[in-house]
Amino acid sequence: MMKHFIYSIFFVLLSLQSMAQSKMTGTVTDAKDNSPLPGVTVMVKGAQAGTQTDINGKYSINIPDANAVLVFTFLGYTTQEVSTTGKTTVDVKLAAQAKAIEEVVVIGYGTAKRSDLTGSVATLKSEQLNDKPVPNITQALEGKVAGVEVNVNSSAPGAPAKVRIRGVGSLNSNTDPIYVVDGVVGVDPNTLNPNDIASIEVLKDASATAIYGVRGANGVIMVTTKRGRSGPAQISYEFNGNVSELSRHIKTLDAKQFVQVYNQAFENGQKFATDGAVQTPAKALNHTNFPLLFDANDNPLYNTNWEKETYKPAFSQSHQLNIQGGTDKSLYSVSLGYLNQKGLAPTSAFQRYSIKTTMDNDVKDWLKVGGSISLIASRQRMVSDGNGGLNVPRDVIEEVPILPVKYPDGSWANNYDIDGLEGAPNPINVANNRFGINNTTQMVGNVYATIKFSDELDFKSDFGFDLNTLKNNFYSSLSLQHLSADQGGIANINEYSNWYWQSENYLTWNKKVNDKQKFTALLGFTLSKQSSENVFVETQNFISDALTYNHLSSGSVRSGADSGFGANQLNSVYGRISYNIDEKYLFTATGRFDGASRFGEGNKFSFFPSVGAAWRVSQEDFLKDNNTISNLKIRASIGVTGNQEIGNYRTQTSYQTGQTVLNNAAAISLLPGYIGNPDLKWERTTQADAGLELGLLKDRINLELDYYNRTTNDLLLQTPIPWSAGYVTPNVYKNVGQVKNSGIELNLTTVNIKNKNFNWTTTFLATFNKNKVTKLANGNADIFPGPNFLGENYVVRVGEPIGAFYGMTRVGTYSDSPEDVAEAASHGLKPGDRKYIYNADGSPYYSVIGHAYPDWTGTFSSSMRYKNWDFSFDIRFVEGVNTAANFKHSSEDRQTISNSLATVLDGWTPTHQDTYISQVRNYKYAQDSHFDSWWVEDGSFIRGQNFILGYSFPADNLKKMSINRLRIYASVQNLFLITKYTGYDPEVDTFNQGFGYASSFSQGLDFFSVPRPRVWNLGVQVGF
Amino acid sequence: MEPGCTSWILKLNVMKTMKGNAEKYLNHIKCIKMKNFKNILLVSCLLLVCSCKKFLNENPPFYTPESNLSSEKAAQALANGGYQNLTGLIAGQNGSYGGNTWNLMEFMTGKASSDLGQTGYVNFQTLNYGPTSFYFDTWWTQLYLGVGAANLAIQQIPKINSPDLSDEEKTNLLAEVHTLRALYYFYLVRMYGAVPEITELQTDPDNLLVGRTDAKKIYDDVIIPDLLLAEKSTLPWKDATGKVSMGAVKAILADVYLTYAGAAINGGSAAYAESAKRSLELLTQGGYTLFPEYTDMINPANKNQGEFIFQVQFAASIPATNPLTQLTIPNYAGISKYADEYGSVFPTQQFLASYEAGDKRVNEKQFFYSSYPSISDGTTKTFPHPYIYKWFDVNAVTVTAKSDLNYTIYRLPDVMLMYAEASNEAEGGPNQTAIDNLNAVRSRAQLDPVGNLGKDAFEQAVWLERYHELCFENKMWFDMLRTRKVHNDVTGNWDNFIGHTTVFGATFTQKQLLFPIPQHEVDINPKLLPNNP
Repeated sequence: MMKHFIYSIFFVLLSLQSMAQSKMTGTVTDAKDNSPLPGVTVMVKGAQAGTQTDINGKYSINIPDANAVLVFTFLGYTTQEVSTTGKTTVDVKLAAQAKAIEEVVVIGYGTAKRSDLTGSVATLKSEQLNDKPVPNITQALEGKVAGVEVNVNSSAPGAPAKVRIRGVGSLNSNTDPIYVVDGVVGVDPNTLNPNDIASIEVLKDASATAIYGVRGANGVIMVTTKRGRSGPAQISYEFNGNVSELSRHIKTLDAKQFVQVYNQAFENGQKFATDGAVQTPAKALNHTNFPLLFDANDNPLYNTNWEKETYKPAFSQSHQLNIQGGTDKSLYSVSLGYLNQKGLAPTSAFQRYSIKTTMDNDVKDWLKVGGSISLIASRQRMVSDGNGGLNVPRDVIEEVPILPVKYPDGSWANNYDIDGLEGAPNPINVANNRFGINNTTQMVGNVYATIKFSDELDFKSDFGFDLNTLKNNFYSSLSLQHLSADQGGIANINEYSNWYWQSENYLTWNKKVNDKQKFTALLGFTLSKQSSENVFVETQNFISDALTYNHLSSGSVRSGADSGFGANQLNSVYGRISYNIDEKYLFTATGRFDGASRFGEGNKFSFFPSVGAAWRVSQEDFLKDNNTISNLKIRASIGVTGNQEIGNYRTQTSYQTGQTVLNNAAAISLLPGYIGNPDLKWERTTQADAGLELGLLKDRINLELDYYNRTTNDLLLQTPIPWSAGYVTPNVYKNVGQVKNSGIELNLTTVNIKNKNFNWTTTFLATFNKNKVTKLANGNADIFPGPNFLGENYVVRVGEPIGAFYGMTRVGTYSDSPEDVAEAASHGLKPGDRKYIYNADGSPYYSVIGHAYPDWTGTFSSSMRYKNWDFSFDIRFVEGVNTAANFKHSSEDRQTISNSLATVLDGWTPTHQDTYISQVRNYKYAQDSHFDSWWVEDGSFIRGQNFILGYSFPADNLKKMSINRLRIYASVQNLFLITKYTGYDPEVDTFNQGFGYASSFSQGLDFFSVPRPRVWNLGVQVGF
Repeated sequence: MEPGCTSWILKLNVMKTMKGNAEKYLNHIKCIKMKNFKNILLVSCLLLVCSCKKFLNENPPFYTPESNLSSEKAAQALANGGYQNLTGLIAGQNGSYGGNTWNLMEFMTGKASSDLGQTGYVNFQTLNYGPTSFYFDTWWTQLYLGVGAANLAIQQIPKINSPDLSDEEKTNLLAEVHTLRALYYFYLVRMYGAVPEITELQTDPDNLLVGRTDAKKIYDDVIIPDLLLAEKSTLPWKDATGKVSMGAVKAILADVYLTYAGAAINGGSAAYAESAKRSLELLTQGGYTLFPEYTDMINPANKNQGEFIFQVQFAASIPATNPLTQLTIPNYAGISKYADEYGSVFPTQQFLASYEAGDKRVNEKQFFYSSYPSISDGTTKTFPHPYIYKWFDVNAVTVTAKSDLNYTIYRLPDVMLMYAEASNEAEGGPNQTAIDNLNAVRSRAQLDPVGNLGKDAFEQAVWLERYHELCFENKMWFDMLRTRKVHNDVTGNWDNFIGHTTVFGATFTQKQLLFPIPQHEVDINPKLLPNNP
């Protein structure tokens, strides 16, 4: 459908282009070194028609008559007008402007020249963001900005990534940065089409973020979408097609090994049984009991590799069409996007359709109005719901190899066909018959009016909105034993509707005080409200799977119905003044006074100030004409920002309704629900930043170095409360302490070679972050924030960083030496059991056994252009971090009920006692499994993130087709992964897969993740 | 204007002053587009003021302490809250497969085994459990949720003034809730000993850590006073809807006094008389009658009828179903509609052998069964050993996979045997009513009546009858703790609790007298330290 639509638009556009009269061609070069200048706008004076030069500086334009005048414009160069009279070609040399127009960056409520900034702001342009096909902005940010840590924790199609700026500055209040999309604050970035983005600015320090006050503590990501531009319409089309394939393997027992371990385990069971009962399987694995699985000699008929059967190469594609154009009074843009991403897991997929249009008009000389609207519809099919459940990634490891995918008669084979196994249906069966579909529709946009009172003063009123609906449709088949067969099939629909609006109104005053001094002052106020509603309906017990969730009343059991509502409001005043003295001394002061409904009476209002200063040393006389140092700037800032992302109504105690049974009927009950905390107040982060920007050898070498120190006070934490309090929700939001983050960010870019034919640039980004909890409530008592997987997994402890893994320490297995036998017996254990460290009194010893956040991360990237070829790559480093392979619990410590990791072949035997893996035995006698140091592995890694090879066709060949630009490329993502981690990928979090939601805890917990694919791409980019 | 607004405007002024340019602005603007600007400013200010009014108020979508909950229905809902966590007595254990709070109390006795490793039963079979083991956390949580809900009701119901709610109704609702709170605490002290004594709903999030109060003090402060208060109400002797009846109040009081007198508390022999008094009142005035057949207990039509005094309510139609039906079906036997046939708990051979010859209760399909037709082809499946039939709901097993049975907390034979035991202790020997009650239980089992036994022999006969009649109803472990005696199924002797070795070779020590408080709770509340051994 979509493809056809795009093609037809193409043909229409092509036919428009061909209505030309005569042509003029030529080459535009740099006056200085004669290198070709691509992207120069060439227009016929007085007409709307125009074109751009290609990568070799060549152009071709239709002219109405022989005496036309061509206008050549290019950012940073002096515009030239050339008459065509008597010429067949017009070659032009453009001279760079004495003072090149400097890069302008988007900041809160305005823009600023990069050189004027006193804060730490990183910019990413569209090309950098879209160098690889990713479904959302968060994934696009990975490894792109120093100080911005992106964890792509799930490889499910369309899955969002976790983004942290300058460490984790909060506990489990939200630690996501706030996204401001064309001025609309708080948009979910994961639903947007990354191809619609023109640029992203990451505001990192307080000088930049404090203008967002209450929402600035975790950093601000300003997203600017593509808009119209004056000149001839530019049409671009991009296609990407890719194949994902499994790139790493987890070794499990094959059929022969499984049978051997299974039988051995029952034999070993005698040793662990205390009642002397003989240990035998429910049914022996032989052809008498299982004629479908064993031949007459009791050899397994099948040897299924479930990983291979489940994770098959998947094909994805995307199409993107952008049109940008306008006159000097009116600009417009239109874009269409289509993405169809398939996952390695069968049936998993993500589709997105997006349409966006923008308009900016100078309707009067004093009035400008405009706006944008973006419509997005997406559909994500998920097959790995329910961490810990019998989901696809788990079944891949645990399904036994002696089963086929399907029996010869076409029916599914499943673990429960073998008596005594934990009854998992096979993963392909689950993927086909149990699924959740996230349907998202979103409308985000704004309308604005800018009134210009004078050249110095204007007023902007901007009304922004974000309306979105997430509807999750779920169905689990009546055939799936142990999942939904007892219920006769389960169908439910869970819908969330969210409405957000904001009204931003601000005055901007650009004042030139005298020749040397100028300032920009801003004063504004804003109101915003976010509200949401949800509906949930579930029925069970269907006569067939045919209708799934499409006709809920066809289920005879009405098992669930609920609805909910929530809202919160903000009301704020903000201001900023930026003072510039002689382009050398820069000062910025900002302040925001915020009121938030979420806090208790008396704590609703708070003020967030910041100040920043910068000294452009290179503007001083003593450096101005220095040949070595082309740019030197020193910056410093300090300020306060807040965090209010704790959910609604956390100050209020709730009496929750429940349901009990009396007189054979449901009866409503009232229970203590949640203990409100009326004293709840803002979490406040004070951040200091010192930065250095250095450009050497005419900016051939650029270094940006920042040191930051963030202290977050009054940490908002969802603290567990004693169960003895009797509240249904066993936790409360409290301001509990203080955490510090300090670190260094480095961004070094060098232009190694730059000449007519060859251009080579490399960039090295690195971030070193140190995180430490420095104070906690209740006399610095430890807090155990969960998750709780076979014991506490994390501790929040003074002196330790957030994300400290907490558990027992495994030191091996008990040998049959007399000392070991005695020690084992004191814990009720035997030789062959796992050996842990205990306290003197015999109780288990718990301690910090790892860290979920890295010591440092870095990206090394390089790009080269040789004539028409370009090649670039990124390699990402994440060092000094742990990942917990929790999946080892069920696949290493539990034999005879499912398949095991091949590591159990290294299990304890009387002749192999020096091992960390316990002796296999039937599960009835499994040793208690604990969250321990054996699972917490080194999670450091080096990943070949992205490699791209591109070729741009020379313009001469394209002219006939009226094409300006045609580039094809091939690329590969995740080419290699160097790590000691034994799971699929150390960058993981299976405990937190909520849609777009991510908290500080559970990073690095891996309980069966979908493997990360290697992705091979082919793409085409065409411009008209 | 509201207080919030004043400070708002003040701050606005501060900001203006900070910038110090407000005056300049205005002068500047005057020359340009005065009218436009004024209009916009006006609109802007209006917006600001409007917003101030109530913009930051919250209207939570749930009931809060400020909500209007003063109706008769609200009173009923508060009381219902007390009942809700009775399901905690047979609640599923998080992280297990086939695990249930009920399992724990049977595993502990050494007279039950399990087909499933995922129930964690080996830890209990070998007595190698600890504060992080299964079940201790769920029991603790469920019981305190019950306490919390009861506390809320006890606080709020007296405040309700509604024409639809008479004083008597109010008193009776409170009697129900006090009884429930006493019951939750009764379980807590028997399991964990000294526990936090919380009798009002806690409301200060900074003050939630409560230390442990001696078990005897909890009996004296909470359990007994709550029940004595309920005893004064006009609750009916029986209640077919499943609510607390006077019968339930008396049964619980009888059990409480009997336990209070027992070894754990040593509350004095007077308590035996108090216990006997309550059970006798129930036996003579309650109107409860024994079912003719044991299988009448597993007929859903008999819920809250006949000999049932107090039950946890389930209804397959809600659907809130009794999990024990499925949990006790033989492992992978293929006899039921259920996908999972757990075999979570089954009796040891030695316990079955301890029944007297001819005891009807061990006949096929009375309390136990060892074969059943296959669900697929109807052929008889014989199990490797007998399984429990006490929770077998035929309709659920063969048709609906949803059990409609209630779970019994007190039934008549329990009270009959409590009377026999307590009166024997109080009076120094069995009276005729005590003997009659014991024999009534035996007679249904087609056993000969006991004759004239001495005090000790009678006591042991009663204890053994309790094992045999009330087995797998979560009574036996509490009996062992109360009496500090364990029937040795191999020797036939009554062993001392400490020192008794189970058929699995594990020996009861001091450690078994109390369960450890769950580690997660201790982590949050160090005031609970030291933990039980």
